Amino acid sequence: MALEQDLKKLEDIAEKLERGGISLNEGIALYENGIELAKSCLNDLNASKDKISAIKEEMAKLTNSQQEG
Amino acid sequence: MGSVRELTVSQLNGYIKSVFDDELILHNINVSGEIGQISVRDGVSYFSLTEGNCNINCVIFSTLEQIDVGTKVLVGGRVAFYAKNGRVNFTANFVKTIGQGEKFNEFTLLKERLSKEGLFDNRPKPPVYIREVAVITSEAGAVIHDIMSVIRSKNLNVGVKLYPASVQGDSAENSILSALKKVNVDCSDVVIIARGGGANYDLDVFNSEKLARAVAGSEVPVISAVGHEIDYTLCDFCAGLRCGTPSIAAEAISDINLNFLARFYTALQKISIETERLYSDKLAKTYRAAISIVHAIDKKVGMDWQRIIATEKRLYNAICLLSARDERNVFDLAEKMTNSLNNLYEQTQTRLKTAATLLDYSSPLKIISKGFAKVTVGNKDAVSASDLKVADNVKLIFADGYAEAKITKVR
Repeated sequence: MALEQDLKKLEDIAEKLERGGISLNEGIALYENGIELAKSCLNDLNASKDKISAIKEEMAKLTNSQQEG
Repeated sequence: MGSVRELTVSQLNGYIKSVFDDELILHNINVSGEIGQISVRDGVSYFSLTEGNCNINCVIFSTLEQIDVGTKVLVGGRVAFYAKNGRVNFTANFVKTIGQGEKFNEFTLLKERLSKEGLFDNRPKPPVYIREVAVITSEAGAVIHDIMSVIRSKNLNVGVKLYPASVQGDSAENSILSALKKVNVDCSDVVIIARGGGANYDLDVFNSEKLARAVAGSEVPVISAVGHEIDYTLCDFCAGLRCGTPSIAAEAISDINLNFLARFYTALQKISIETERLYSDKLAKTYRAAISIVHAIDKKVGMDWQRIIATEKRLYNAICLLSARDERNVFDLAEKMTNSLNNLYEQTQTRLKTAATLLDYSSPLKIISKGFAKVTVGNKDAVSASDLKVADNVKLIFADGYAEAKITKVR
């Protein structure tokens, strides 16, 4: 699962950043990296959501047609 | 021979009646016999008295109760001839029971014997659904017509096949036996042995041992519909089903089929309902499972979402902290630098002040102001006595002005 791995990576970055002891430049690089990851995760999640809604709709259609039939 | 008389019917009947009326012995007479058939209408009882092969119709103007067919009775009364219908009737004053009749006793004994043999037990019943019914009865009588019309009225698609047989008289037994044999060869679903009502003696053939055994041995289930509802024959006992009349037998056939169809449709409905129930059960389960999956997914997505947002916030906070830290460092440094610069400035200022003070002290003007004067010769400063010679014109410069003088002595 790419999303799960990305999420894990994102959290690692956050932890690293929170731990401190780095230069601001390093921090900004990490932050940039983290935000990129977060964006990609949210995109993935949005795609999943869309997929789920599509499946849900399909299901609803099926069950409706069953109840009508 | 003399000439033959010619009479009209009324003349003849009138004559016969007079003969009967003149015969005194017929006016008061007791007769014994068995009750053959009996019916009561409007307080008048009509019955037949039988003995051997003979039979006489009787009437009594009272209601005969508790006298069964086959009962041996003694009847007292008179014989009358009715000119109107040309019938002889015994008009009874009394009917006295004197025991069971011979025929009845014979019937009872035979019935017991056959019963002990088990001829009445486990007779094949009509099947649950009937496609073709065989009818053994007279071709001429109303019986076959009654059966057909009842069955047709129900519109149940039952085939009716007539096996013509004589149902009374000497030939009846063999006629019915051979018809029954044919039915068993043809394998109809069921056979009705039918005979309309009649005087008790007319049903004798249906009490014959031979016929009883044939009926008991028939593989095709037999419905016995002999005589009226109140008459029981051995054929009835040996049959799988006994119906009072041929019409009732036809009704029974219809009922069997209707019952089967009702059961069939009920079963069909049950199956369909059950299938529907199973189906909707499965559907509901699937639906529930699908919903819980969707919920789980939704939850998971929500959790992931929160995780990302939270992590993003952590990132931001951390970077803010980092940046703030560095900002603070910069400010600190700047402050330090400013402080240092201030210090330097102050130091320099102090040094300058000191130097200025020093300078001030050593300033010529300051010296001059204390009463000293600067001496110049021409354009040169005279700082030593040797710089001067007598007669030199010198300038004495004071703080507030100058004076010119001439050297008079040098030492």
